Amino acid sequence: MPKEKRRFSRSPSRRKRSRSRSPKKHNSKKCESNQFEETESQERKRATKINQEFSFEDYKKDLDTLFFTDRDVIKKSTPQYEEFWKFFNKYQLMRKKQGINSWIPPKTQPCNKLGIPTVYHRSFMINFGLNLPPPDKLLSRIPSVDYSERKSARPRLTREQLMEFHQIILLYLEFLQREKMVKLKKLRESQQKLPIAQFKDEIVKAVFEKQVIIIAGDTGCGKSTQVPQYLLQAGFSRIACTQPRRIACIALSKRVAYETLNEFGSTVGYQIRFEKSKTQATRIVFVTEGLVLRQISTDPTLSDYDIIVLDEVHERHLAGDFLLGVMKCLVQSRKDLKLILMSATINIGLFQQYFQGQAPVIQVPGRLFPIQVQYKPIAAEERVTKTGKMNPSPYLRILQLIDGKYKIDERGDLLIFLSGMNEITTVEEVVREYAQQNQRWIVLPLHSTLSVAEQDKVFDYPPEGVRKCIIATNIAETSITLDGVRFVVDSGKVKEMSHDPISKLQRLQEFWISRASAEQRKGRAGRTGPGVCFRLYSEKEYGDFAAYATPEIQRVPLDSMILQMISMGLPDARLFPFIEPPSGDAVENSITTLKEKGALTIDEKLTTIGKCLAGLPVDITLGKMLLMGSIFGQVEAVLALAAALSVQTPFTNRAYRDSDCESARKDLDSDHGDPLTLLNAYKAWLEIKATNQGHTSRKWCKKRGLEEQRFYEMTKLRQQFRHILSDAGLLPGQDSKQNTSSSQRAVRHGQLQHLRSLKRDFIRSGQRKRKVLKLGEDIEDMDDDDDEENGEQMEMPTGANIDIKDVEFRLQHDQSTVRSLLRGVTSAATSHQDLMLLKLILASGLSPQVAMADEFNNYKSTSDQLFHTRAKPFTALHPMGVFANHPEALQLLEHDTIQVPGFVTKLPVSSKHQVLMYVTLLETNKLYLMNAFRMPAAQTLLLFSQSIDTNGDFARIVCDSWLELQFVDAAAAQSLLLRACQLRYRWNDLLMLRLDPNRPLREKDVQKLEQKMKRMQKDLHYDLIAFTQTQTLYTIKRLLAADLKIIYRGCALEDAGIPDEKNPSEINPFWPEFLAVTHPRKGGIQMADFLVYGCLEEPDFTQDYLSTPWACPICELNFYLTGLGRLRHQVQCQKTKELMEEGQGEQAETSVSQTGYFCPDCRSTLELTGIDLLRHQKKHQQEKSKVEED
Amino acid sequence: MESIDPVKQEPIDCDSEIGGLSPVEIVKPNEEKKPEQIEEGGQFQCALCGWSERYHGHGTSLPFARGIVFNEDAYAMRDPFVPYGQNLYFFLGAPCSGCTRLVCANCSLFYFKRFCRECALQNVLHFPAEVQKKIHELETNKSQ
Repeated sequence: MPKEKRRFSRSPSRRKRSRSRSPKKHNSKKCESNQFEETESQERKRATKINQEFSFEDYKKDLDTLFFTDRDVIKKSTPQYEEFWKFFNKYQLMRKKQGINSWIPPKTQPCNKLGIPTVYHRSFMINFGLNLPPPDKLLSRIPSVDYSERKSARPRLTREQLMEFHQIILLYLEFLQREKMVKLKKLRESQQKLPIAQFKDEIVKAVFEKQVIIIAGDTGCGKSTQVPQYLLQAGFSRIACTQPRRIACIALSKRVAYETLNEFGSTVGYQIRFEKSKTQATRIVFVTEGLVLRQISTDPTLSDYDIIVLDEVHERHLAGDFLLGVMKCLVQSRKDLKLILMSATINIGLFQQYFQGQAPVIQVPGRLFPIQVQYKPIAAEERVTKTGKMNPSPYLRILQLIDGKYKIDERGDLLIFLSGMNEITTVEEVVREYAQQNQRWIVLPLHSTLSVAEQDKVFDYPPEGVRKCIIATNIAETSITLDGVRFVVDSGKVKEMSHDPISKLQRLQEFWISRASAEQRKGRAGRTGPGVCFRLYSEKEYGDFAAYATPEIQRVPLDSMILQMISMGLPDARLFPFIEPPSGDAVENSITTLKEKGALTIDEKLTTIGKCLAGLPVDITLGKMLLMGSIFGQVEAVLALAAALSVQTPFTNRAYRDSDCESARKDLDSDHGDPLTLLNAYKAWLEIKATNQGHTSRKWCKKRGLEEQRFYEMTKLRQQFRHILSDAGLLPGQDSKQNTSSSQRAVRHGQLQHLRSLKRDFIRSGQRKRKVLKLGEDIEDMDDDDDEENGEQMEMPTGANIDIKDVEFRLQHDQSTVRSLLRGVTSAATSHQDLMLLKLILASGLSPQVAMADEFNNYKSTSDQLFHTRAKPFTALHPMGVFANHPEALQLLEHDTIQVPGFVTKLPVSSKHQVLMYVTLLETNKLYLMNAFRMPAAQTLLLFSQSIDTNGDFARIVCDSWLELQFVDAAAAQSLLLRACQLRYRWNDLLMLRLDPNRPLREKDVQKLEQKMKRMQKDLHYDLIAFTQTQTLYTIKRLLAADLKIIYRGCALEDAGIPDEKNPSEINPFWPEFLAVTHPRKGGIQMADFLVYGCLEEPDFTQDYLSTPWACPICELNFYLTGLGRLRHQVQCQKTKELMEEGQGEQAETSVSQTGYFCPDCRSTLELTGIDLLRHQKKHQQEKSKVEED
Repeated sequence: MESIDPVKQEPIDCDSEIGGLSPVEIVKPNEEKKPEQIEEGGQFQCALCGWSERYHGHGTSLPFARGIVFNEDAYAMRDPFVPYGQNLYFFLGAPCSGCTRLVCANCSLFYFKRFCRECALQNVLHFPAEVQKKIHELETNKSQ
C-alpha cells in the first residue's frame, strides 16, 4: 500500500485532485482494489477473445474522459487533439509494418555504474510522463455501463491497452516538442542572419552611453523588429516605438510578440487611435506618432516610457516631424529618457545636425541582392498619344523584353510604378490584351481605391510559368511590401497631394520623384533575389531629381498641428524647433484659420472651443462639426456623418461605371448632396444589419459597388467619436444601459457564444491564406465568385468562409444596438427638420467653404456645371458626386424667380437662391468640389459668414467680402439679419454653456443646468429651422476684385458717414455685449465680430430711408431714422414696454423721443415720454375693446 | 500519509507505473530543493551552445502544464505557439546528471537521465548501442 501511494501520488495537491476528478466516489481503498481485480480478470478473458478486431478508435469516448480532459496536456477539441489522432493512426500503421507489438516499458531494470539501464528501451529516452493516477484507478474511471448490456458490445479496455495508449501520447508530445524546437531554432537563426544582428552589442552599448542615438538602415535590415527586442533584453521595460502608420503598429507588434515568444501574452502590444492591446504587463508598445503626441498633451514628460524609438523618421510625415521637435525638447528636460531615431540610409546628416552631432550614428547595411539598373528614357514624341493621353507602349515593350530575354522557368514578378489611377488603367488595358495572347502574365492593379479583396490578390502566387504584373502607385514603395518581385519598371512620376494655404486647395499633381524614392523603387526588385530595374527616364534626368521628397510639413495644412501645439503649452508655433520649419506663410495662414474657427483669440490664446477641438483627435472642421452636433439633439447623426466623411468613400469606381451597380444604388442618392448620400448608404447598410439577414450585407454592398469595409470603419469611428465626445463631457444624459429582460439576455448570450466560436474557427483557419492565382482570374467577374462563397457559407460556416468582419460586428452590436445606431441616422434621413439641422451643423463646421453657381450653368448632367469659391473661380462638381448626376437640384426654377416692379436688376430675383458648401477643394486635372451639399443662400451666409457688411438700411449685404445680397424689401432684410444675429448669439451662448469648464458640481444644479440647456437647444433648433424657411426676395452676386475696391465707404470723410456713427456705442441690437465701434478701415460701425453696419458705399438716392417716415411697430410713432437707428429705437421701446407691463414704469424715466406723436385716436399731436405714450395708447385700446364688447 | 520527495527516490524500479515514469535523482546546483517551482522563471542559457531563452518554470512539475510530470529538473516555458491556458509547454533543457551544467535539449540527450553532449561522449561505451548512435548524432548536429 505505501508503495503504491509513493508511486502515484507525487504531491499532496495532486492526490487531492485526482480523487475529485474521479466520477465515482470510493469510501475505502480496499473496496476499490477488490472491485478492480474482479473486473480485470473478466476483461482479460474477453479481450483475448476478440483481440484481433481491437481498435482504440472504438474507445474514443472512454479515452477522452481519461486522457483528454481540460486538465490534461492535450485537451479535447483543440487542434492538438485532432493532430494527435492523425499521428496515432500513422503510428499504428508504421508499427504494424515494423511488427512491433507492445510498447510497454519493461518492469525491472538492472542499472550500470552510470545508473542507467543496460538494456535499451525507447521509453527510457523520454524525460516525462503524464500526470495521471495509477492505471487501475484510471480504468475505474471509465463510465461503467451496466455489464449485462455491454456483454454483447465491445469489451472494456484493459490495463495494458491503457498503458500502451499512454505511451503513444508520450511519443506524440515528444514529436510536438521536436517540431517546436525546429520552429524556434529556425526563428532564432533567421533573426541572427539579419544584418542588424551584427550591431546588437554596439546598439545596446550606445544606448547606455548616450541619450540620443541614430540607427540608419535600409529596408530589410531588421531594425524595426529587432531593436525593440534588443532593448527589452538589455533590461528596458517601458519601451515605446512610434510608427507613421497604424497598420505597421499592429503588424510589428504581432511580429515582435511572435519573435519574443509572446504571441499570446501581452509583453508586446500596440496602441493606435481608438485601439490598443496594451496592458499593465506590456513592455514594448508600438504606437502611432499621432498618439504619442496626444499622450504628451496629458502627460507632458511622457512619464510612461523610459525609452522612445522613433521609427521611419526619414519619411518626414507631419506628425513625425512634430514629434521629433517635441522629443528634442523633452530630452533636454528629462535626462533619464533615451531616444533612438531610426531611419533609412537617406539624409542621415540632417538628423545628425539636428542633434548638434551629439547623437552617434550606427549605420546598418541593408539586405538587398544586386540590382541591375537600365535607363530606358521615353522619347519625347512617344510620351503622349495623339489624343493627348499617356502612351502605354513603352511599358508594354518592357514586358516583351522580359518575355524575350528571361526564361519562363526563372521565376520573378514585375512591378510597375505609375503616378496615378488613370495611368494604371491605361497601361493595364494594353498589358492585359498582351497577356491574354501569350498567357504568361497575370495583371493586377494596385492602388488605394481598390477594394481590400482586390488589393489582397497581389499577395497570391502565380501558377508555374506565369508572372504577376503588378501595376501600382507609390503605395507599393513603402506601404505594401511585395516579395518575389524581380523586375521593376519606374515611371519616375508620382502624384502628390499638395496644399495651397491661401486658397485652402488640395492639389493632386504629378511630379518627378526624388532620387531617394527612385532608389526605394529600385530596391523593390532585390528583396528575394537579384533583380532588374528599368527606369523610364534618362540618367541625366535622374541626376536632376531632387535628392529627397518635400517633407509633408511643407505641403499640408498645419491647422490641427498648430492648435495641438498651443494646447500642449507651446504658445508660439513660429519658434518651434522643427527639423525643417514650414514656411512662415503657412503658419500664419493656419493661425488665421484657427481664429476664424473660433479656436484662438485675437492674441492667439486658446479659446474654450479651441481647447475642446485640440482634444478631439480629428481635423478641425470635423471637430467643430462634432462640437456643434453635441449641443443639439442630433448628435448621433452628426457622429455618423463625421465618421462617413473621415473614411474613404464606400462608393467604388464600379458603382459609377457598372450600369447594374448604378441602378441598384440609385435609391441611395440624396439630392441634398454627397454627405447626405453617404449617410443614406450607411443607413441602408445598417438596415440590412438590423435584420436577421445581417450577413447578407456583403452581397448587398457588392451589388451596389460599395466597399463594405468602409461601413465597418464608419461604425467603429462613429463609436470612437462618441467616446471622444463623452470623454470631453459633451454627451450628457446618455443612458447607454438599456433594460433588457432576462430572456433577451439569454438569447444574446447564446448568440455571443456562437459568434465567438465562429471567430475562433476563423482564426484557426489561418485567416487569409495565400492562394495560387489562375490565369485569367484577374479579369473574372467578382460577382459569381462571391455568390458561390455565400452559398457555402450558409451550409457550413467554418474556417475561411466566415465573414469575419460580420462576426466581429455582431459580437459588438446586438440587434438592439444596431437598431439604435440606425435610429440615430434615420430621423435625419426622413424628417425635413432634422435633415436641415444636420446640414446646418455640417455647414457650421465647414464654413466658409461656400461655392456659388456660375450664371451660365445649364444644369444638364451632360455638361460641366461650374461653381466659384471665394479663392478659386470655375471649379467643377466631382463626377462621382450626386450633383454631377443630378444638377437640376441646384437649378433656380423659372417659376421661383419673380419680376418686382420698380426693382431694377439684371439678376434673377427669388427667395430660393442656393449655395453649395463643400468639404474639400481638390485639384487633379480639374478643380473639383468634393462632398458638396446645397443650402439656402442668404440664410446660410448670414448665419455663418465671418464678415457681414451692410449698407444703411440693410437692403444690401456683402458676405465675406465676395457675395453681395440685394434685398427687395429693406425691412425684411433687416429682420432677417437681426434674426440671424440673434440665432448666432443664442447658438454661441449654448455652446459656451456646454463647454463651460466651471460646471456646477451638485447633482441638483447639474440637472437644472441640463434642463435649461435642453430648453435653449429646443428653442434654438425650432427657430433655426424657421429661419432657413424664411421667404425673402433677393438677388445674389459674386463681387470681383475690382468691386471690392469701391464697395466700402471708409471713414476718411466725416460727413460721408451715417448719423449713427456719431455715437457708435449706443444700444447694440445685434450683439448686446459687444461694444460697437467705428470700423477703422471699412467705415460704418462694427456691431459684432462678424458684422459691420453701414460701411457699404451707396449712391445718394438710396439713402431715401432717411427722408421717409418710419413707424415703430411698438410705440407706433413715426421717425426719420437709419436702419440701425430704427432697430435701436425698437429695442429701447420694447424694454420700456416690458418695464411698464411689469408695473415698474415709474422707474423708467428715460425719454424715448422728443418728437411729437400724432395720436390717430384723439387726433392730436402729443408731447409725451415713451411710457406715457404707451399708457395713452393702451387707454385707447381699452376703450375700443369696451365698445366692441358692448 | 507520508509525503515523498520525488527527488530522493531511487531509480531502481520502474515497475508498472503508468507513463514509464522513472524517477531519477535530480541535481540542482546551488539551489534549495523545492519539489515545485511556481515563480515566473528567468533566463535559461545552455552551457554548451549558449542558446538563451526565457523559462517560465523548472522542476518536475510545472504550474502551467499540470498534465505533465518530468523525470528531471526540467526548464520549460509555456508553449509560445498556442494561446495561454492550453496546458502545453515547451521544454528547453535540464541540468546534466554528470557535470550538473544546464544544457539545452539539442546539446544533450535523455536516457533515463540527462547527459550533456560532452559527458555522454566521455561515457559513450556505457550506453546501449541504440543510444550510442544518438550520441554520435549529437556530435554531428553540433558541427552543422
